[in-house]
Amino acid sequence: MLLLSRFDSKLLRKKYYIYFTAVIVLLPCTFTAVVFAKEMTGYIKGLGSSLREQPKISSKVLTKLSRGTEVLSKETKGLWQKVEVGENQGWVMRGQISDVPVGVKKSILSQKIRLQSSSGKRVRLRTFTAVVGVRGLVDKKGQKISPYKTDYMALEWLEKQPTDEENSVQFVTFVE
Amino acid sequence: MVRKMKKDLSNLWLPFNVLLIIICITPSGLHADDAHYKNMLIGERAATMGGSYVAVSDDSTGCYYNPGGIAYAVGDSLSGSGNVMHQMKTVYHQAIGTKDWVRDSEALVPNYFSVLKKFKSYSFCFSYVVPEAFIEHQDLVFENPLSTVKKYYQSLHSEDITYLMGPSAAMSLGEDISIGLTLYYHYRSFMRQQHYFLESTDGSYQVFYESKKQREDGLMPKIGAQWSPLNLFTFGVALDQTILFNAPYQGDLSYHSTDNSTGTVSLSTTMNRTKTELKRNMPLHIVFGAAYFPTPSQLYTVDIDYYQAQEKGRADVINYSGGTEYYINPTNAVRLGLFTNYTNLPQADSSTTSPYEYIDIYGVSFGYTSYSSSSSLTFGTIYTSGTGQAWLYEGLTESRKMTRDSLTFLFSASSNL
Amino acid sequence: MIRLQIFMLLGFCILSFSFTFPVNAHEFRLRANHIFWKNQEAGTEKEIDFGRGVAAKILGKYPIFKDEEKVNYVSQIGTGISAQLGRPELRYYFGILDTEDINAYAAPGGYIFVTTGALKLMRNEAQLAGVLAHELAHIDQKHIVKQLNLQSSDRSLTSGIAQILGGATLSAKIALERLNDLAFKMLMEEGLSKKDEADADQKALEMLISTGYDPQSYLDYLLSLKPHLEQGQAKVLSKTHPTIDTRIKLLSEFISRHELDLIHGKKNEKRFKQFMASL
Repeated sequence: MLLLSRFDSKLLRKKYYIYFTAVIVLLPCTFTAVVFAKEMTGYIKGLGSSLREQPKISSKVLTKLSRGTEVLSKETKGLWQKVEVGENQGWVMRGQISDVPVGVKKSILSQKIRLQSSSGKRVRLRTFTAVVGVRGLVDKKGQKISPYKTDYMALEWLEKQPTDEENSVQFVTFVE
Repeated sequence: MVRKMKKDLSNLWLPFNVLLIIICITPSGLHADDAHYKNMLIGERAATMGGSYVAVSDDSTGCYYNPGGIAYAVGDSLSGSGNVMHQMKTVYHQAIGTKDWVRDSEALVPNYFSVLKKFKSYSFCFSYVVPEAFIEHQDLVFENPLSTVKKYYQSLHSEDITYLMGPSAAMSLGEDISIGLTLYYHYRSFMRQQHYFLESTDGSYQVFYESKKQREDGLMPKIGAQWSPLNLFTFGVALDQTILFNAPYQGDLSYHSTDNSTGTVSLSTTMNRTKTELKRNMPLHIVFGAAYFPTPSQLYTVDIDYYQAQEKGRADVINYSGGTEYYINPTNAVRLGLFTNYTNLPQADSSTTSPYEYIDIYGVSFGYTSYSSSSSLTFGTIYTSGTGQAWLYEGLTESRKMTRDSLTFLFSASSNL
Repeated sequence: MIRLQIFMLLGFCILSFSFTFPVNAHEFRLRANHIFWKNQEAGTEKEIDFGRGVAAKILGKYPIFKDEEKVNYVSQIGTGISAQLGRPELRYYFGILDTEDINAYAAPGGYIFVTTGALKLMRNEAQLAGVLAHELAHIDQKHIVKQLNLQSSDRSLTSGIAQILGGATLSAKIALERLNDLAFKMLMEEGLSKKDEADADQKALEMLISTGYDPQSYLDYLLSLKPHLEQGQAKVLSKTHPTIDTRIKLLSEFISRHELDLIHGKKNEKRFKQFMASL
């Protein structure tokens, strides 16, 4: 490592100041051309996304891309995006790319709780009533202020229905 | 004063290598370490990137590195960081005969706190920085170290802490350029107390007490700008200098000795108080930096710090630093940095008087941050090491090898407001 | 010698610069955590919690249709599309509402409903896919959440809805209930903006093409709604959406702009009738 305080000659010092500034400041720039022409990193949202040769649905599929794959967007043409994935380059429909990294599936506790009580409705009403009761916002009969009815039992039935993403994608690819 | 003392001692006891060294090489200077400009790294991101931050500076830490950069802060924030466990160990090899002399300094310092607020196209910030904190406590006790010395006891306590606090403001001038200004109030408090007692076998003894206190009040204006002519790149420049307007020094010295060697007890006592103004001429500091943001997960930055000495006997210094930041995913990031911490003393030559230390230090930093939607926590570590030469005491033409290592653990937290 | 070296370096760098195209002055500064949390907006968990309340209200108004075979079919079509083009962090639920009313609803957080009335009107699987895709688009684009006007400025990383949803205080709970009511009212009475509806229609077509379905079938379905508007079955639909003519006009423009009229996708009429014939 060149230590500038070592140099006695002022002129030599100045030369090295310039030289090192230039080297150190401009060195990272040399990577620009190699890596990025137009930066835009995207992530594949869906399962079974196809990378096509041409921006047409009828075009040949080059490869399948899995969910979460990082892609580099190069060009946009209508509803299609030209992307670069590792070695390959091809077209993907823009709806399949997200600019946010793909995270895990979220679910909340309420979705996971299976109410054991015979009438889930009453449980929730009570909770809500307790909440609003304190504030004096409930009427004499203890009915909710909200004019709309709710049916959490039905919702829970719906949430209990099995879903399988892989199978569903297969189901949807079926052509008669 | 010290010279007279040494002469007295050399008359009394010969040879006296061991004790002379201990007495005389404890720095008689008024600063713990003002030969280096990068003893402590500041900030949550910056400290873990080797202190290379002039071209980034886009959060509340930017108030200290480059006020121009805070114009690009993403939102209002609050940040606080502490150097938890800052340990420095200096070893003077074979300074005491064949033994090494080791000095330790340890400090637990919360060294940065700032609040940043954006308002339209302006950014305002207030920050508190502790750029230097050097605390040393040393107690040495020797029983019969020499045939003529029965007991030698030395105690040394030294604290040198510098504080900066003040507001910053920045504005963007168009799409590509921003400028900013920080005005820090500089306050430094230095204290050193040394006490030794020496009892010889013939009953003579010496008692020495010295207390030094230095206070500095000053202003440190810092002006900075950032320029982004190209996409993905930023260039930063910042300039600052500390100007002291008040620097009172007070020194107390008392020395009392008896001399039994001649058969009669002779007593000499001195008590002295000195009060004066000792203003340092602080260096002019210019820093250039560049940063490259290829993707939202990567960042590379380099800085060159140039310090132009304003005091006689000091040399210009150029320090280099570089850092990188990598987001493993949006909630976890790691950083790495390298930096130099060169001495501002010129190389020793025939006219150099001891005590004199010439040591260049190199450092590496590493950090990890965990992000949540509105806050972040950072843990990092900084390790520095250097090898140099020390001219320990007058009359000794040979230098001794010295090494200095330091390890710092830092912890920092920020929150969006 | 040094001068030559400097010039060489400069020259090299200028050459490499020519490959960069400046896009947005300082977007590149945003780090991965900023982008991630900025896009979270309401926070997915909070969005789901909120949407669940709205879904419960929808189910409070219309009884749920519990024929598992049919529900499973609708769910498979819906999930098949959402797995490929929906938000990967959400779980989508597809339910059928037992009512003669012709409509489909989407609640934030992934709850999509289609009525038996609408199912009876449909002729093939592509039409069902189109309707589900339209609702999916509303959730993906967070139209409902945005309409509730609780987004704060772009720069801030927390939004108004998050503050309410995140609140554990009593007033927060009440505010949440109010919000739910508002969302439900919006779905049933006011509807979303014309722009959002047009956006959802367009996205639905894109999704149909992406999954290989026939986009024209969706327009056919919209046309088939027209006579029912007068009869009152599509009363809620007509109140909350732009006119059928407007929708078809905008879609036709979209189709011609992107040359989508040349695409012939699948309709899967047989399979649709296989499941839905007994309705």
